[in-house]
Amino acid sequence: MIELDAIDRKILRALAEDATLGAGALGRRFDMSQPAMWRRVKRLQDAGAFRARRLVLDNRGDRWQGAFAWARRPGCAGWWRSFCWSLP
Amino acid sequence: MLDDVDRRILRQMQAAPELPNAELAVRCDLTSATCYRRIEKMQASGVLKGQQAVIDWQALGYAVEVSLRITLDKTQTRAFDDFIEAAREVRHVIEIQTFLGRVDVRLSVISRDMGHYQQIYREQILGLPHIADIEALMHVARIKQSEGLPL
Repeated sequence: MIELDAIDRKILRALAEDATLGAGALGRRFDMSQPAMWRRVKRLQDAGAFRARRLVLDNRGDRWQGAFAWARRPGCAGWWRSFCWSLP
Repeated sequence: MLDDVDRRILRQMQAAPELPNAELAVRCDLTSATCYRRIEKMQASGVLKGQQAVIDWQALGYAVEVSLRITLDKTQTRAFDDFIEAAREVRHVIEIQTFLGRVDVRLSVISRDMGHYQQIYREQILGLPHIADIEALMHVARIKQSEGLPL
Protein backbone atom coordinates (compact mmCIF):
# COMPACT_ATOMS: atom_id res chain seq x y z
CA MET A 1 0.00 0.00 0.00
CA ILE A 2 1.31 3.44 -0.91
CA GLU A 3 0.52 6.96 0.17
CA LEU A 4 -1.29 9.03 -2.41
CA ASP A 5 -0.91 12.77 -2.69
CA ALA A 6 -3.09 15.22 -4.59
CA ILE A 7 -1.10 14.84 -7.81
CA ASP A 8 -1.34 11.03 -7.65
CA ARG A 9 -5.10 11.34 -7.37
CA LYS A 10 -5.21 13.70 -10.33
CA ILE A 11 -3.17 11.22 -12.36
CA LEU A 12 -5.51 8.37 -11.42
CA ARG A 13 -8.52 10.44 -12.40
CA ALA A 14 -6.97 11.43 -15.71
CA LEU A 15 -6.06 7.84 -16.61
CA ALA A 16 -9.48 6.58 -15.56
CA GLU A 17 -10.82 8.96 -18.22
CA ASP A 18 -8.20 8.22 -20.86
CA ALA A 19 -5.74 5.38 -20.38
CA THR A 20 -3.78 6.25 -23.51
CA LEU A 21 -2.27 9.43 -22.01
CA GLY A 22 1.48 9.10 -21.85
CA ALA A 23 3.88 10.60 -19.34
CA GLY A 24 4.50 13.52 -21.71
CA ALA A 25 0.82 14.44 -22.06
CA LEU A 26 0.15 13.99 -18.35
CA GLY A 27 3.21 16.06 -17.51
CA ARG A 28 2.02 18.92 -19.70
CA ARG A 29 -1.42 18.76 -18.13
CA PHE A 30 -0.17 18.87 -14.55
CA ASP A 31 2.87 21.03 -15.15
CA MET A 32 5.57 18.44 -14.56
CA SER A 33 8.54 17.18 -16.54
CA GLN A 34 8.04 14.02 -18.52
CA PRO A 35 10.60 11.95 -16.52
CA ALA A 36 9.10 13.08 -13.20
CA MET A 37 5.64 12.13 -14.41
CA TRP A 38 6.92 8.81 -15.72
CA ARG A 39 8.31 7.99 -12.26
CA ARG A 40 4.94 8.85 -10.68
CA VAL A 41 3.00 6.65 -13.06
CA LYS A 42 5.54 3.85 -12.67
CA ARG A 43 5.19 4.03 -8.90
CA LEU A 44 1.40 3.72 -9.16
CA GLN A 45 1.77 0.90 -11.65
CA ASP A 46 4.17 -0.99 -9.38
CA ALA A 47 1.71 -0.63 -6.52
CA GLY A 48 -0.88 -2.39 -8.68
CA ALA A 49 -3.08 0.66 -9.09
CA PHE A 50 -4.17 -0.24 -12.60
CA ARG A 51 -6.16 -3.43 -12.76
CA ALA A 52 -6.99 -3.36 -16.42
CA ARG A 53 -7.85 -1.23 -19.37
CA ARG A 54 -11.35 -0.94 -20.61
CA LEU A 55 -12.30 -0.23 -24.19
CA VAL A 56 -14.99 2.40 -24.53
CA LEU A 57 -17.35 1.46 -27.32
CA ASP A 58 -20.42 3.24 -28.56
CA ASN A 59 -22.67 2.30 -31.41
CA ARG A 60 -24.86 5.35 -31.59
CA GLY A 61 -23.18 6.20 -34.87
CA ASP A 62 -23.44 2.60 -35.91
CA ARG A 63 -26.97 1.72 -34.79
CA TRP A 64 -28.10 -1.69 -33.75
CA GLN A 65 -25.92 -3.90 -35.94
CA GLY A 66 -22.72 -2.94 -34.22
CA ALA A 67 -21.42 -3.15 -30.74
CA PHE A 68 -23.74 -2.42 -27.85
CA ALA A 69 -23.51 1.06 -26.49
CA TRP A 70 -21.34 1.19 -23.47
CA ALA A 71 -20.78 3.73 -20.77
CA ARG A 72 -18.77 2.88 -17.70
CA ARG A 73 -20.03 -0.36 -16.22
CA PRO A 74 -22.98 -2.55 -17.13
CA GLY A 75 -25.82 -2.04 -14.69
CA CYS A 76 -25.30 1.64 -14.20
CA ALA A 77 -27.75 4.25 -15.32
CA GLY A 78 -25.49 5.60 -18.02
CA TRP A 79 -25.17 2.21 -19.56
CA TRP A 80 -28.90 1.72 -19.59
CA ARG A 81 -29.45 5.15 -21.08
CA SER A 82 -27.02 4.60 -23.90
CA PHE A 83 -28.46 1.14 -24.44
CA CYS A 84 -31.90 2.70 -24.94
CA TRP A 85 -30.54 5.33 -27.30
CA SER A 86 -28.91 2.63 -29.34
CA LEU A 87 -32.22 0.97 -30.18
CA PRO A 88 -33.16 1.45 -33.82
CA MET B 1 -21.65 -0.41 -39.93
CA LEU B 2 -19.46 -3.03 -38.35
CA ASP B 3 -18.59 -6.21 -40.17
CA ASP B 4 -17.05 -9.43 -38.89
CA VAL B 5 -13.50 -8.14 -39.30
CA ASP B 6 -14.29 -5.05 -37.20
CA ARG B 7 -15.85 -7.22 -34.53
CA ARG B 8 -12.80 -9.49 -34.56
CA ILE B 9 -10.58 -6.46 -33.98
CA LEU B 10 -12.80 -5.20 -31.15
CA ARG B 11 -12.84 -8.64 -29.51
CA GLN B 12 -9.05 -8.83 -29.54
CA MET B 13 -8.74 -5.23 -28.36
CA GLN B 14 -11.12 -5.86 -25.48
CA ALA B 15 -9.07 -8.84 -24.40
CA ALA B 16 -5.82 -6.87 -24.47
CA PRO B 17 -6.26 -3.13 -25.08
CA GLU B 18 -2.60 -2.30 -24.46
CA LEU B 19 -1.33 -4.40 -27.38
CA PRO B 20 0.64 -2.50 -30.03
CA ASN B 21 -0.98 -2.36 -33.44
CA ALA B 22 1.42 -4.86 -35.05
CA GLU B 23 0.71 -7.52 -32.44
CA LEU B 24 -3.04 -6.85 -32.61
CA ALA B 25 -2.93 -7.30 -36.39
CA VAL B 26 -1.22 -10.68 -35.99
CA ARG B 27 -3.88 -11.84 -33.55
CA CYS B 28 -6.64 -10.73 -35.91
CA ASP B 29 -4.91 -12.34 -38.85
CA LEU B 30 -4.73 -9.03 -40.72
CA THR B 31 -1.93 -6.92 -42.12
CA SER B 32 -1.05 -4.10 -39.78
CA ALA B 33 -2.02 -1.53 -42.42
CA THR B 34 -5.53 -2.99 -42.71
CA CYS B 35 -5.84 -3.26 -38.97
CA TYR B 36 -4.74 0.35 -38.49
CA ARG B 37 -7.14 1.59 -41.15
CA ARG B 38 -10.06 -0.29 -39.60
CA ILE B 39 -9.30 1.11 -36.15
CA GLU B 40 -9.03 4.63 -37.53
CA LYS B 41 -12.37 4.20 -39.26
CA MET B 42 -14.04 3.00 -36.06
CA GLN B 43 -12.54 5.91 -34.17
CA ALA B 44 -13.75 8.38 -36.78
CA SER B 45 -17.28 6.97 -36.77
CA GLY B 46 -17.36 7.17 -32.98
CA VAL B 47 -17.67 3.43 -32.33
CA LEU B 48 -14.29 3.22 -30.67
CA LYS B 49 -14.23 6.08 -28.21
CA GLY B 50 -11.07 5.39 -26.29
CA GLN B 51 -9.56 3.46 -23.43
CA GLN B 52 -9.95 3.95 -19.71
CA ALA B 53 -7.79 2.67 -16.89
CA VAL B 54 -9.61 0.54 -14.33
CA ILE B 55 -8.28 1.53 -10.94
CA ASP B 56 -7.70 -1.15 -8.31
CA TRP B 57 -8.69 0.77 -5.18
CA GLN B 58 -7.87 -2.12 -2.88
CA ALA B 59 -4.27 -2.14 -4.06
CA LEU B 60 -4.12 1.55 -3.13
CA GLY B 61 -5.18 0.84 0.43
CA TYR B 62 -8.93 1.31 0.16
CA ALA B 63 -9.81 -2.01 1.79
CA VAL B 64 -13.43 -1.32 2.71
CA GLU B 65 -16.16 -0.97 0.11
CA VAL B 66 -19.72 -0.38 1.19
CA SER B 67 -22.77 -0.35 -0.99
CA LEU B 68 -25.39 2.09 0.24
CA ARG B 69 -28.95 1.65 -0.95
CA ILE B 70 -30.74 4.89 -0.51
CA THR B 71 -34.42 5.72 -0.65
CA LEU B 72 -35.14 9.38 -1.28
CA ASP B 73 -37.90 11.59 0.00
CA LYS B 74 -39.94 11.85 -3.20
CA THR B 75 -42.26 14.51 -1.81
CA GLN B 76 -39.40 16.84 -2.71
CA THR B 77 -39.57 17.48 -6.43
CA ARG B 78 -35.85 18.04 -6.81
CA ALA B 79 -34.86 15.11 -4.58
CA PHE B 80 -33.01 13.16 -7.28
CA ASP B 81 -31.21 16.11 -8.81
CA ASP B 82 -30.14 17.61 -5.49
CA PHE B 83 -29.03 14.28 -4.10
CA ILE B 84 -27.02 13.20 -7.12
CA GLU B 85 -25.40 16.58 -7.49
CA ALA B 86 -24.27 16.49 -3.85
CA ALA B 87 -23.23 12.82 -3.99
CA ARG B 88 -20.99 13.52 -6.98
CA GLU B 89 -18.98 15.89 -4.82
CA VAL B 90 -18.15 13.22 -2.22
CA ARG B 91 -14.72 12.01 -3.25
CA HIS B 92 -15.07 8.56 -1.73
CA VAL B 93 -18.18 7.77 -3.74
CA ILE B 94 -16.87 5.86 -6.73
CA GLU B 95 -20.17 4.83 -8.27
CA ILE B 96 -23.69 6.21 -8.39
CA GLN B 97 -26.54 4.17 -9.81
CA THR B 98 -30.19 5.10 -10.01
CA PHE B 99 -33.09 2.65 -10.01
CA LEU B 100 -36.80 2.34 -10.47
CA GLY B 101 -38.18 0.53 -7.46
CA ARG B 102 -38.10 0.56 -3.69
CA VAL B 103 -34.48 1.71 -3.70
CA ASP B 104 -33.80 4.91 -5.61
CA VAL B 105 -30.04 5.24 -5.63
CA ARG B 106 -27.07 3.05 -4.87
CA LEU B 107 -23.72 4.51 -3.94
CA SER B 108 -20.43 2.65 -3.77
CA VAL B 109 -18.24 4.17 -1.10
CA ILE B 110 -14.60 3.24 -0.59
CA SER B 111 -12.56 3.85 2.54
CA ARG B 112 -9.29 2.77 4.12
CA ASP B 113 -10.82 0.96 7.10
CA MET B 114 -13.98 0.83 9.20
CA GLY B 115 -13.02 3.89 11.22
CA HIS B 116 -12.45 5.87 8.08
CA TYR B 117 -15.76 4.59 6.68
CA GLN B 118 -17.66 5.72 9.77
CA GLN B 119 -16.11 9.14 9.46
CA ILE B 120 -17.15 9.43 5.80
CA TYR B 121 -20.60 8.10 6.60
CA ARG B 122 -21.23 10.56 9.41
CA GLU B 123 -19.62 13.61 7.91
CA GLN B 124 -20.41 13.28 4.23
CA ILE B 125 -23.11 10.72 3.51
CA LEU B 126 -25.63 11.58 6.21
CA GLY B 127 -25.43 15.22 5.18
CA LEU B 128 -26.66 14.49 1.65
CA PRO B 129 -30.07 16.03 0.94
CA HIS B 130 -33.51 14.35 0.89
CA ILE B 131 -32.53 10.93 2.26
CA ALA B 132 -35.53 8.99 3.61
CA ASP B 133 -33.81 5.68 4.32
CA ILE B 134 -30.36 4.07 4.02
CA GLU B 135 -29.41 0.44 3.97
CA ALA B 136 -25.71 -0.39 4.03
CA LEU B 137 -24.26 -3.54 2.55
CA MET B 138 -20.63 -4.29 3.21
CA HIS B 139 -18.84 -5.59 0.21
CA VAL B 140 -17.12 -8.96 0.67
CA ALA B 141 -16.10 -10.21 -2.73
CA ARG B 142 -16.58 -9.32 -6.35
CA ILE B 143 -17.39 -12.62 -8.03
CA LYS B 144 -17.88 -11.46 -11.56
CA GLN B 145 -17.19 -8.14 -13.15
CA SER B 146 -17.06 -8.29 -16.86
CA GLU B 147 -15.57 -5.27 -18.55
CA GLY B 148 -16.11 -6.61 -22.02
CA LEU B 149 -19.07 -6.60 -24.34
CA PRO B 150 -20.39 -9.82 -25.85
CA LEU B 151 -19.19 -9.04 -29.36
